[in-house]
Amino acid sequence: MLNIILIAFCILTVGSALWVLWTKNVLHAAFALLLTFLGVAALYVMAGADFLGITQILVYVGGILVLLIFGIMLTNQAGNKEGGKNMILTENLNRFWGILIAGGFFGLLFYTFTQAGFQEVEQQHFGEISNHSSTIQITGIQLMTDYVLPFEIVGVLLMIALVGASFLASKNE
Amino acid sequence: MNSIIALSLFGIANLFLGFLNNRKILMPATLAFILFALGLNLADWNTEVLWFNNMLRTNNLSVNFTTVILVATLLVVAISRGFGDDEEHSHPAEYYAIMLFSVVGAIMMVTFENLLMLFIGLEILSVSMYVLTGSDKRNLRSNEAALKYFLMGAFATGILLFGVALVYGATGSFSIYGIGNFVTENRMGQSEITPMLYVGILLIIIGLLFKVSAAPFHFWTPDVYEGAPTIFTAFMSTVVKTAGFAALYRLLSVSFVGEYGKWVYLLYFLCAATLIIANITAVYQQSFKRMMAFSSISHAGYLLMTVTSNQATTQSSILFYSLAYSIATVTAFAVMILVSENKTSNGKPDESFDAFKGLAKNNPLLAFALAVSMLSLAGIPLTAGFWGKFFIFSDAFKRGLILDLIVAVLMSAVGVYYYFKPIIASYMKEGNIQEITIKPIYKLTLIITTILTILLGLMPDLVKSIF
Amino acid sequence: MLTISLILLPIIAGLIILLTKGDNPKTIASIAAFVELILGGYAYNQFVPNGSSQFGASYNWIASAGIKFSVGIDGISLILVCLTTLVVPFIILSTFGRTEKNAPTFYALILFMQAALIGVFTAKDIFLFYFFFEVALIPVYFLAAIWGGENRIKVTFKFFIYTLFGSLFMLLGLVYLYMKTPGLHSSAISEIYQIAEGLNGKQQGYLFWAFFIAFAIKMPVFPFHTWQPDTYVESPTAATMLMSGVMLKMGTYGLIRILLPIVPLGVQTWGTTAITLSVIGIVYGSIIAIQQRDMKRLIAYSSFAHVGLISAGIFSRTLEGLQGSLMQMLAHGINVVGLFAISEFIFQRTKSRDLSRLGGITQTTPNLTVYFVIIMLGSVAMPLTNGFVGEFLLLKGIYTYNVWFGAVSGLTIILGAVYMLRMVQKSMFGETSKLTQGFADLALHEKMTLFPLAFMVIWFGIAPNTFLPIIEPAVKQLLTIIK
Repeated sequence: MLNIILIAFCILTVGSALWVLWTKNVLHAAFALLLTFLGVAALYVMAGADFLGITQILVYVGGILVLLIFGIMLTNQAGNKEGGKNMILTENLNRFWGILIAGGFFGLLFYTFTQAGFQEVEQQHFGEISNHSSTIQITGIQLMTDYVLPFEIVGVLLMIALVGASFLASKNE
Repeated sequence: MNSIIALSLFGIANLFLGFLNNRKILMPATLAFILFALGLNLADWNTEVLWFNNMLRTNNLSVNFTTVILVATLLVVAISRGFGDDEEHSHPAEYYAIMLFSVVGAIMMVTFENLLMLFIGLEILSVSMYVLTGSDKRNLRSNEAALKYFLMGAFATGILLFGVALVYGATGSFSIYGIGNFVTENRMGQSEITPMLYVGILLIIIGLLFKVSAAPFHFWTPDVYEGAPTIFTAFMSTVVKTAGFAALYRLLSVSFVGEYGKWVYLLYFLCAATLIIANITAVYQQSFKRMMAFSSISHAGYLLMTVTSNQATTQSSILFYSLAYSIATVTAFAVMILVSENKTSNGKPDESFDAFKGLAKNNPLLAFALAVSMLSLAGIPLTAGFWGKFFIFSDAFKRGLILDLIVAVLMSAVGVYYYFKPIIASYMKEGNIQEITIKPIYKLTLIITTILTILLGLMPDLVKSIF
Repeated sequence: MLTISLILLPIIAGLIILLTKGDNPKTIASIAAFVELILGGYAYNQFVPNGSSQFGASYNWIASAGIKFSVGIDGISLILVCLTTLVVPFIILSTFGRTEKNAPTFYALILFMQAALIGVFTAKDIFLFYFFFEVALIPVYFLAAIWGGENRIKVTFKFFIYTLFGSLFMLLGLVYLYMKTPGLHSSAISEIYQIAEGLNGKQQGYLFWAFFIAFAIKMPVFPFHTWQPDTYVESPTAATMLMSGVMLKMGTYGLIRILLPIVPLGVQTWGTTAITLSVIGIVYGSIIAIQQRDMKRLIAYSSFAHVGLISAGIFSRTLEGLQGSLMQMLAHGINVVGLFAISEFIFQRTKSRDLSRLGGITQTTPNLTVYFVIIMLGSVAMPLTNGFVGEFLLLKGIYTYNVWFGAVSGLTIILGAVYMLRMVQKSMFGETSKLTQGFADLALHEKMTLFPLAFMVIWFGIAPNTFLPIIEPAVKQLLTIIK
């Protein structure tokens, strides 16, 4: 039963990702991306990474994707109207190199993960963690103790992102 | 660590200073901030501290790298002229703040002890660079450069992060010493190492090579360097490169040294490829700025050579080379900014070699500074660049990287060809450049960098003995 | 300390000159060069002719890498230091007739060049040697490229890249040897000599070529000479004199100091090839020289031929050959500077160096004729001139090495006489041409340049013992290292 659900979510993820890839309409791509994100979130949950799954939904589906769709809707589409419909189209270039590199990368990762021996790895390094039923508590504690510095320093990163975004988006005086 | 905290605070202070209706105060303030951070950094000399549960490590190596980075930043800020000269650059406070923040990222990349810190440092540095690259908002090239840099950079960061995840999976540790111990022990125990580790190493190396613009991950460099405002090109080509190589060196020499026999081949060939591609392409450039971009790639190749050799002296070689390279690059860009603004074509600054024609006639200081910096980049004796190359060649010899050495020697000769183009233009060709007025601090910076380049060329031991 | 002051004096004088204006640069430069000459004479006077290195000084340069700033003068160095200090004052004097644009830089560069050359000849550390070897390129490149003729940019650039390219391989060779030294490494030349003994024939073969190409380009030896004629012609005469008079001796000096002692096995294997190339150069250079119409180009090719002979003598590895090469370096330096000076004086008056358009100069300037003939005879190696001693020893050395090489090299005397006499005849004698009408007699500074040079030509010819006793012990010592 679990396997079937897993496979279903896998197909959902990969299928919608392919849709993103092949469709020429940006809005369609954005909606397909929604499905991809959801699928990935589901896979996270099934892998036991519940915190990651929730974050995925909150950040990507709730935040980024909405922004993306807003962005598409607010884009100046004067040149893209066709029979009253909004059509922002994209192009595919460099197919040969794209497919070659992506295929190569896929092959590399595929080989790696088939050879990885995840169960041994888990026993070797992560036995303690896998005993916990939820990762949320552990993540929270770790973030505030061992990993407090990265947690704080990310503030600088966000600061730059904010300053930079507001600067780039502001009008020239 | 102290300098990280100080610079983060100073960055915010800078933003607040921007509210004052007094732009003139910003540059001196920023210079003072950096000098203060430099002082804090030097105060850590000969102390070995691990911060926040093994996140960062302060030791002499990190102090040295931080010093090089801060000195480069100091020089770039000193030639920034307050960004207040024209309407276009109307946000000096933001610029300075972002520069200070980005230095925080760079310092984290040289002090990291934990791969998480490397990633965050790299992201801070990169995001700042994306913004600064695109800061010339009305210039289409600048926009294009920023977008290109952002897309490619984000992709590279993704690859790096994926690598970090795989290495974590394979070794169960984020700490570079933890990974190093695991790798070495497994090597000793002859036990089967999961391919995850190798792929992880590969991806991390690719991610970092992208940041330091080594071939074949260099395609973004010429466009981005050319499109970005020159002052930020100078910043990018010095600070990012130094920090990137420091990170690469620390990772490879501490974490993955146990697998030296594997990754050495990758770097061995990439180093030769980088040198060849960069130098041959640089010969065909007409624009000084684009030439400097390829020059930056080629210097990545030289630095890669010493990283590949992985000797005990590698760290001091990287340090010396980065310092010599940074000083010379900042000088070259400083001269270029003045010259190209003086001579515009179609309303845009003329960045071709022709812009330098006849520079020596009325501007002997500028021409001399340019000549010295070019000689240093070309690695001619009497300049710091020569010793930089010398130390790197010595390291490579110790390891016996014969192919790289021969390529490097041939490409040094090719390098002379294009580095001499601006010298020839400024000294030997006729042109009508009037005397360019230079602000005192700008002039002082040029004089200091030129003297430093020659001084280090005569007495490299002044800093080499410290490194 | 003496050696250090020999190196520092021109640098300091050059820096002072950079701050001056007007006619001062010339005066200061010539004063500095003459003081340097006195220092050189003092070194000659105080030198004890044995195989040892004297007036040494040594400072830590890069302590962690065992690289030292160590200099000293032995017999071989002394000859070349004397040559440098003897020639440079007259090079500066010969320029008094011209007003160069940006004179301070011009004279400062000449003095910097002198300092670098003395550095090359006195260095006792291979990296110091390399450092000066390369640094010497920079002033002469700028001299040639800024003050040169029409095609200067292209030609001098070719010269720069060419020579730099060659020396980079030498750098590789030197670093290789340096890495073989024990412990924390050391780059003292004496230490490198010892290390080199442990190398096998194959390694020495590679090293031979790494070094040989660097020096062969500098000298130049056939077929690495293609940069030379154009560069000599396009450069301002002062730079040409520096290049042909002193700079090319860096190459021959390098052969003696670096190549022979470090890779004796390599020389054994490849020496014949090197001599063949040198001998080809002798004949080839002479034949082309005969056909030249441009005076400067003719002298350039004659210089090329002479250097071939010097190089062949060095590779003969005989006492006579090496002695002769050192004597000939000195003689050639003086002669070629004299010849270029004369060609420059003629050019300044007639604006031409074309032999077919000159002629009849003797009628107005007996002075110039006398000097020209004396220096020409020195260059042809007439007995009782300086050229004779060196050339005789060289030919003897080559003859001992191989009769056939000796015979072919002997052609140099005949061919040399042909092109030199032709040059004097076409330029000085015969009908007065349009250009040479009203040819002014020599000015004071020109006499002051040519008289000492002509005097030296004869003096060193009559009294070769001024230098031979100094050379002999040094060369013997060298030969013991090689064997």
